[in-house]
Amino acid sequence: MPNDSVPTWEEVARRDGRKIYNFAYRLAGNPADASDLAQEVLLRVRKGLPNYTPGSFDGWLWRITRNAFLDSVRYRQRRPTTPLPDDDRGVGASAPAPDEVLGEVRLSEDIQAALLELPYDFREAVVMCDVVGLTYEEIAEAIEAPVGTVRSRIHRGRKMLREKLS
Amino acid sequence: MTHLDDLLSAHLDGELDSDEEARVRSHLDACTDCRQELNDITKARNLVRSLPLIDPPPGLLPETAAGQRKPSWLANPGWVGAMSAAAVVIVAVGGFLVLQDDGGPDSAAMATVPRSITGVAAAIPAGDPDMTDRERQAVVESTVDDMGMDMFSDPVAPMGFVHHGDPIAVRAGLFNEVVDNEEASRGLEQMYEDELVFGLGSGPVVFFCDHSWYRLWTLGDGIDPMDAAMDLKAGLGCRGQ
Repeated sequence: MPNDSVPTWEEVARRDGRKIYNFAYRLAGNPADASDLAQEVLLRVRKGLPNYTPGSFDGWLWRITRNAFLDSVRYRQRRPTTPLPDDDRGVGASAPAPDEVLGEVRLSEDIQAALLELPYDFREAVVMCDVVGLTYEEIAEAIEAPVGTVRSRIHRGRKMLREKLS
Repeated sequence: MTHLDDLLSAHLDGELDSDEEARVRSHLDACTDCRQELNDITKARNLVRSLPLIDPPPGLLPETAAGQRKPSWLANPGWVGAMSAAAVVIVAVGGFLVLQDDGGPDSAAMATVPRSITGVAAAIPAGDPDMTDRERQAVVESTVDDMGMDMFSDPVAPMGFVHHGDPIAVRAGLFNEVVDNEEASRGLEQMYEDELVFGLGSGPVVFFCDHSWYRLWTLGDGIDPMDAAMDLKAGLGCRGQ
């Protein structure tokens, strides 16, 4: 998106809502938390747009998204909850292993479970890069860290994933 | 020999400048370990990228909300013109009521727009003196239907046309009588502090409106919504249901 272009709330929701939901889903591992986060992010965007100063909109949006996710994590840490029944396809370690696993082909449940085992900083960087499709510079802006840190986290995250999925 | 480490992922993602890229390629030609590591992280990256994009639940995002169809009253040029840049409520997204500009260039007018569901009532008939209360009610109800929400048909919250101070919707059965929404919202916040989650979650939900935004509270775990209702009723001096 051009730097001087400020989208409307609806444009953000339509253009990025699905990516925000998938970001949350891959970080949290369940649809309920992903929905909550996507709604929270869209609310924050709605509230923040009037004060948005044209610049890197994607950096602004994903910084909001990341902060909303971290806020929700902090809230849940203060108030441990009993997980709701998961209506997804068995994301998590308890998912039964399929009978047929061919070579390098992994079911998404295995990959999701491996992602959830990564320390947050590495999981976040990998998801932003490989699920959301952000550039290193955009990720750096979102997490407010140098590009070198992003580069390191993505690389180490991938190495950890490879070990877990071997 | 110093290995490439982090540069390998950046190389894989096309994130290196030309000098770094040349150095990486030169190193890879001579280093079996780095070629193996590149192979490993390529597989990891491809696995993550093979994850399917998941569709959000219906209604979570605007394109999946039923509210894309404009209510008939939006086509009425008389009151639309009279409203000027006033915002109108036309879309709900998974429980959000969205105040949307009518398309005019002056979005600053949003600041003057009534930001509560009474804004619906205020906006709809503003330039249409011929519209009766019954028609307004039908408009609001059809708009809500467009939003995919059933707040008006919820048996615990029998609602008709919305007036200032009306309870908006009470899925958890908190109120069945008119209360001041702002006061109730404040009261709930004070009583439960961080046990209210802003946003529409999967638990019992309380809707309030105030002049800044619709408050979609989810009660925290361990809070019985009826207990909360009774506490709040008592705090506000409401009569029992």
